[in-house]
Amino acid sequence: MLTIRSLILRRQALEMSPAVLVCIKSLTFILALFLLLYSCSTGHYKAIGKNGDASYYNVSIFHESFSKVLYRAGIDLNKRHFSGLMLIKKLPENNSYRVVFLSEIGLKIFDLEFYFNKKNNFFVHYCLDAFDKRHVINTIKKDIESMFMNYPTEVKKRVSVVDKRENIVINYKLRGINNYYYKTINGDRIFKIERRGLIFKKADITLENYSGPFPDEIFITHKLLKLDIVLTQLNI
Amino acid sequence: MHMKSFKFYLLLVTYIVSGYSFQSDNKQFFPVKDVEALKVRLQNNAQNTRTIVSDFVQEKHLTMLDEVLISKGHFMFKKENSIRWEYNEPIKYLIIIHNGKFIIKDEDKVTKFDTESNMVFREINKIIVNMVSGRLPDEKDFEINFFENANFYQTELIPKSQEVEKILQTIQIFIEKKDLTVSEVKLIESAEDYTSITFVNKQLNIEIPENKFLTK
Repeated sequence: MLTIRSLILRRQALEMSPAVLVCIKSLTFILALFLLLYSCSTGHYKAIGKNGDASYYNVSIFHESFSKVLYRAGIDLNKRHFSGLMLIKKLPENNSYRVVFLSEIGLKIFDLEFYFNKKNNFFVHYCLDAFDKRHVINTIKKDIESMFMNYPTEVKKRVSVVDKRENIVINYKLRGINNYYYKTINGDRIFKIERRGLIFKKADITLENYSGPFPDEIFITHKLLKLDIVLTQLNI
Repeated sequence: MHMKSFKFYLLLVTYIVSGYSFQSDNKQFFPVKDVEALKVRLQNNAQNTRTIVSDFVQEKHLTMLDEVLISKGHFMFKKENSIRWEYNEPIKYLIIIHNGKFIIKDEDKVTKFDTESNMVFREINKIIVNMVSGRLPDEKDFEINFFENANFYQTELIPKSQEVEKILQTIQIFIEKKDLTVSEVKLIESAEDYTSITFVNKQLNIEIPENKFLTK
């Protein structure tokens, strides 16, 4: 599309009269406005204003009232199956969440801590060799972060409406983050997250059966890594 | 397996007898003066044990998180090498060692353990069931120390293998003096975190059907 600056340069080159330039500027403005209105009316993306639209993006997966949950956990990693318990606990004194995955006999498989309001917002307390690979632990980190919705304040948010399924989709985007959250138009719970890269989808996270301040069932599948995670809430 | 070591393993089998409230870790322990005599006592006791059936309560202590996760289940041992290690709460999970095979049943999913991919866990599981069924590991794999107080013997195993050491700092086995039954196995991962497995309602030498060591 021709920019105003390019039109000005062209005008200089062609030595257009000021009246012609004003006309071109006006036409360009009208065209831009038309395109903006058109994009909104088709429902693909709708920008959130400075103050945001709380009903669209002020949603969480682990609600503020959440304190801890114990899941039965199964993780398939590169043809290896690990199962046991996953404890997710909020630590208000640390301003963090702790995620501990244990085998049935009680031995730790990994123990991760996600901090809020800190630049370095992730710490590996323990990790079994099989998981102690940068791409594996980073993937798990991003999966869990996307569920905690632990984003820097500068993250950009966009909302779109998928007409056929009547889902609201909220895109969170920042360098290294490109996550899409799905919720029904009338619902207040997120039922799916898509983690995407620049080109490819990286992970699908399905969240089901919110009986409390968190989902009872979570299914995570990855497109570029043989890593599947299934979590089912246990009553404690 | 040497006959001598087998007898020693077997004698530990006899540790599991009747249930009681266990508080061994509240009391101070001192080194056993005559370790060889203790080993002989344990061996003699084990020779008479054909089967062990017991309930167990497993407590996972996550000190930094101020959490204790409790699991409960049922344990069976049958001479020579059959083990059924069954979790009923909070999840259903079953480990069977029988005829040299290592099988896990996770809900309805039955998996034969892949020793290549899960070697460490297999070893850890073996250590636990061996301890409970009265078998001490090879001294080339563990430094083994014996302690005692008024009511209990404590066997302390310190791993020599780097693979096991990464996961476990120490294993403590508490044996009741009055009947030489194992009452608690404690898997210590770090200063903060450990798992204790306490055995209750222990029965010796009752009949266990062979199909208890098969997955349907």
